[in-house]
Amino acid sequence: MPAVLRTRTIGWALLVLVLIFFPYFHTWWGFSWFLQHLESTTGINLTVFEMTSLAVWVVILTGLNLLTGYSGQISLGHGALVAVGAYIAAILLDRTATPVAVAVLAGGVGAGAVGFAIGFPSLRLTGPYLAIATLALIVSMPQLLKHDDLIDIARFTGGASGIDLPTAHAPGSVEGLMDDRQWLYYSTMLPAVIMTVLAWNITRSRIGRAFIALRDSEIGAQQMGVNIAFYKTLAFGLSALYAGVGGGLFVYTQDFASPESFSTFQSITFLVSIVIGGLASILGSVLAAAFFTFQTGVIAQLADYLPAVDRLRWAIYGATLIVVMILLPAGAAGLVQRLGRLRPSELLAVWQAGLRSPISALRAHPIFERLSGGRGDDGRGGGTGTGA
Amino acid sequence: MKTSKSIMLRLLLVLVAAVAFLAFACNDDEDDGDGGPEPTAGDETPVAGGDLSDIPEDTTGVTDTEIKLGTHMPLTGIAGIYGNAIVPGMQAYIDFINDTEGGVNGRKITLLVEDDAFNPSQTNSVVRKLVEQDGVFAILSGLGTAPHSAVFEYLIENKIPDLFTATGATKFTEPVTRTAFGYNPNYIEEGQALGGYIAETYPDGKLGLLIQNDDFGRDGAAGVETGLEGSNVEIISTETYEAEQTDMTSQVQRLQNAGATVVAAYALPRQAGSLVAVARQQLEWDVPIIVSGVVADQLTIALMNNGVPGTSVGVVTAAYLKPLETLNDEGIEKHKEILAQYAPDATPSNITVYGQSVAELAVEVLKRAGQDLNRRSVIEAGESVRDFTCSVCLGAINLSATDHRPIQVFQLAEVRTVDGKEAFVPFGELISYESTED
Amino acid sequence: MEEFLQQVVTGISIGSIYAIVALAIVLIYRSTAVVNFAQGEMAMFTTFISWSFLLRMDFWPALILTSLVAFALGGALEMIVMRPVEKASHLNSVVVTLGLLAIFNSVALWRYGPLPRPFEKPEVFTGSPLDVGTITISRLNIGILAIAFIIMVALFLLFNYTKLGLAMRATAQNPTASRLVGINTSRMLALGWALSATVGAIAGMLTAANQSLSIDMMLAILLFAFAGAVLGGLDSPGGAIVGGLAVGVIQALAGTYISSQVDIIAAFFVIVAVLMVRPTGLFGRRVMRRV
Repeated sequence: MPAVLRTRTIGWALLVLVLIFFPYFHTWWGFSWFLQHLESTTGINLTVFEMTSLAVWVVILTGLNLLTGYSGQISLGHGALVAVGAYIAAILLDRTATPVAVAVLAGGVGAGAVGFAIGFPSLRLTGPYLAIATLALIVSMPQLLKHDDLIDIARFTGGASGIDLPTAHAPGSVEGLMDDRQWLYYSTMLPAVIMTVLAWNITRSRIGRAFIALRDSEIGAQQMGVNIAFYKTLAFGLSALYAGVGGGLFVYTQDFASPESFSTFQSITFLVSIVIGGLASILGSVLAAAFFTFQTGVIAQLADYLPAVDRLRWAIYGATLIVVMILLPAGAAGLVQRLGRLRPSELLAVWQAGLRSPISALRAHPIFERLSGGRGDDGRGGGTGTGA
Repeated sequence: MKTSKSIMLRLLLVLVAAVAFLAFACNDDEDDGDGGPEPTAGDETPVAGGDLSDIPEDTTGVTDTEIKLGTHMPLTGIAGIYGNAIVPGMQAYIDFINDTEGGVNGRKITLLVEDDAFNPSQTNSVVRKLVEQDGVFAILSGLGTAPHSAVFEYLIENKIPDLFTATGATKFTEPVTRTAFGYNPNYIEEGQALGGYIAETYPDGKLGLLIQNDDFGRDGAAGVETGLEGSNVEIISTETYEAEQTDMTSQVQRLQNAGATVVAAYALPRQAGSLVAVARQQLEWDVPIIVSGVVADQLTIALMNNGVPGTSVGVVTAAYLKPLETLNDEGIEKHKEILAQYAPDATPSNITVYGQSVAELAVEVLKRAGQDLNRRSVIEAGESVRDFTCSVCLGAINLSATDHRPIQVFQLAEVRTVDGKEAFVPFGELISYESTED
Repeated sequence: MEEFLQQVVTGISIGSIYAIVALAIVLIYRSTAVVNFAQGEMAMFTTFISWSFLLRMDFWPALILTSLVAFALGGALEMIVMRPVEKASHLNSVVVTLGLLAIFNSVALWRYGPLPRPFEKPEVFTGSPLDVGTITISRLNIGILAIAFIIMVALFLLFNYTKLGLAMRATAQNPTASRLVGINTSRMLALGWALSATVGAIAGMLTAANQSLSIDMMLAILLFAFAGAVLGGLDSPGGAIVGGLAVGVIQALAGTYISSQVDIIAAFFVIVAVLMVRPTGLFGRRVMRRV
């Protein structure tokens, strides 16, 4: 027991150290050599800026995971909440002398308020009906942001041109210690880490348990005394808060916000990412963010060898989604956690079992049952692990 | 015990967050001075003019044998049509120059193409990679107003030459930034040319506009309005649409109901096609239709015809490059040859012609910079371009320290039947928006 | 008044495509309680397949052939991909259908490229538009409306007057009991998807005939069709038609009388408003679940 604990603590300590000193790694020649090779082989562009972007996506996707993974409410329009936060922050930064931290927080609060507001209608809507309502939001966003006919919204949002912010600079007090890029990293990574730890904490608390109860059986949870209305709304509000803060950080790191930055396609990609990364898991949200950040680079690299891959990229993701849902519902995070709990000697056994498991899962598939002579099966998946 | 531990953790988190928050909040004031009350939303960029001497004589991306250029294009997604045609056009010409002339001044040109799927945050990502990791000398033909807006300032700040952006948006060339050059004619100027034509040809017309709900559409509309100034033509209705709406029936009917006698559209191929098809075939309305030069290509003609040949005849646009169907034209024939040899998979179209024209200008500028090629000399070279007519251009390109917009010459073109097929055929005089001062 | 009627007619024309796709969505929902987000992309994909058929034959034979292909495709998809997740939570099936959406879109992009192509119109629908007073409607749009109506009637007859339809409804309502009386439930499920894919294919071909054939032609349509299906109630075919047409009409009227900048917002606003009052849509049934 203590041995495992020690490795665990060392692992965490290592992670923290890496996170803290990452922006200075590139000054070490060995690391830039590593970076270059990593990029040219896998297409993963592990620069300070990319890591900063990763931090932003972690916040956003953690929020979505809280809503969809933990409390089971499907949101296809999460990007709309990110947009709300982003634009609030952008307008504040553009037109007033608000400090960045305040602007980002304002974005979070504003989006959170919108999220709460959405939470109420969500009480009456289920499944597909809720999905459509959230979809309505993100689809309407561009028109809303560009509107200047009845109410001149475009005057604040910059309409189709969006809002252009001056590049973020490190304040004078840290001059010499770090450059602009490194400052951007720290000022983004710190809030991201705090919010992630907070989310982790929430999921292990009563709130998290209520969410899960809500997801697994709404009626059952109600019978057990869980206040459905409150927790449903809280889920929306909380995930919106995260989206808003993420949106604010997005604008801070990108110095630019426009209606094109928040497309329906992006919102769906969010959902895809957390499924692949791992639903109902904080690690899953981080992996989802990694997927979201690096997938273009990796695919572009693959496409160098197989040009068709570029166009088929989404076919690959789609297939991955389906495979994950059927065979590996806990996503990449589930896989990592399962492997992480084992000692090396067990790993081999698990690997072999793992190889056999998709095959046995396939065998359990209704179609094989049919083919191998089973009659009148009931359309149920039969033990292929469909729960999330 | 568990609960008190998690409460402790939460309190600790809140404390850390509060401290960090205060630290960031108090620190930022120092550099946020320019976050003052003047809004930059929608305005032109805050960086203007600048001295040549501000640009370092940087030779990153240039070696004795190579010049590395980078570009961001939409290769996937809805706008992928453009990226997938422009890139072959550019690349083929560059390969041609590398092959037949050994490059420029002994240096072969390498063009690194990155896909940004028309998503501004992806543009941010790939352009930084091009600049910081691939070490390109300059960015060439960055496509898209929104995507390029995301990286425009970054390039200016780092003094990277931003050559010949593939967009007509005004914000990149007015006010002039020394390191950035536009390329496409300004939608406003193009609109003016069209407006002028409308004023001349339909002096008492009632104009209905169909525009895309973004900068492209609005700039065009503003230009048309300016071109109509002083005439009797009034704009009686403006219909907008979002990029994903492809059926213009509703909008066209509204224009007809409003009493339009002339229609002008700043729309993309499918919407322009729908406009003409609905008006001519469904409503049997033979209102004169004028479209933006952005859709002056064969695809749009096919969409306008919508299965019935001849529907598109009479549609007018403003062209600035020779249409592919121009008969017996040396430049066009050469273009087809170059494509066939160096990009055999690409189908020649007005868009590949565009790609080649940009590459030709880039090569010309690199040649002018001479052997001593660096980031400052290339800007100087760019500003020294005078009377350069590329092999597929309709008019001459002139640039200067105050004029960073290459294409300012148009010729009106009309859809006519040529050899049994419909095509845009230029007519009339060249219209120039070149400022006469240098 | 005239403009109002004209815009209503135009709205109905635009909405008729939404209605057909909404029908397909409702078909699957009714038989398997799953919302098929891949509906549009499947339709687009089968339309591209029809393109190859059209090179060799006329519109109507191509339509029939494509319908058969779609039928087979839908059934196969249900059996292979959807079966394992149908009885699981909503999220699973949503995600799987999103995955299918991605696959169809991407494969079509790879195979056919991003450029739009003009699509042949059926002969009978070409020609000058019809005029009723000052209101014009193109023949193709009338045709689409007629086809939507025919499909709805056909489905109505199928579900309410045939043994097969009865079996399908029974399977959706109570699979266990249905099996006990000898219904091959798995076949019924596959049939639901097969029929839906066929309807989708027809919608796809009509859409392409109306505008042009391209990879993204169904994306916007799916959105509005989905909205229409939800508006009408996901388990009501009649509701699907009403909902689809309503979405088209709202768009046209909002664009005319409010501002062409708000037509999309208006459509969705109305839908959300309706859902607030009737959470399962205009004609949807309230669901009672046993716990």
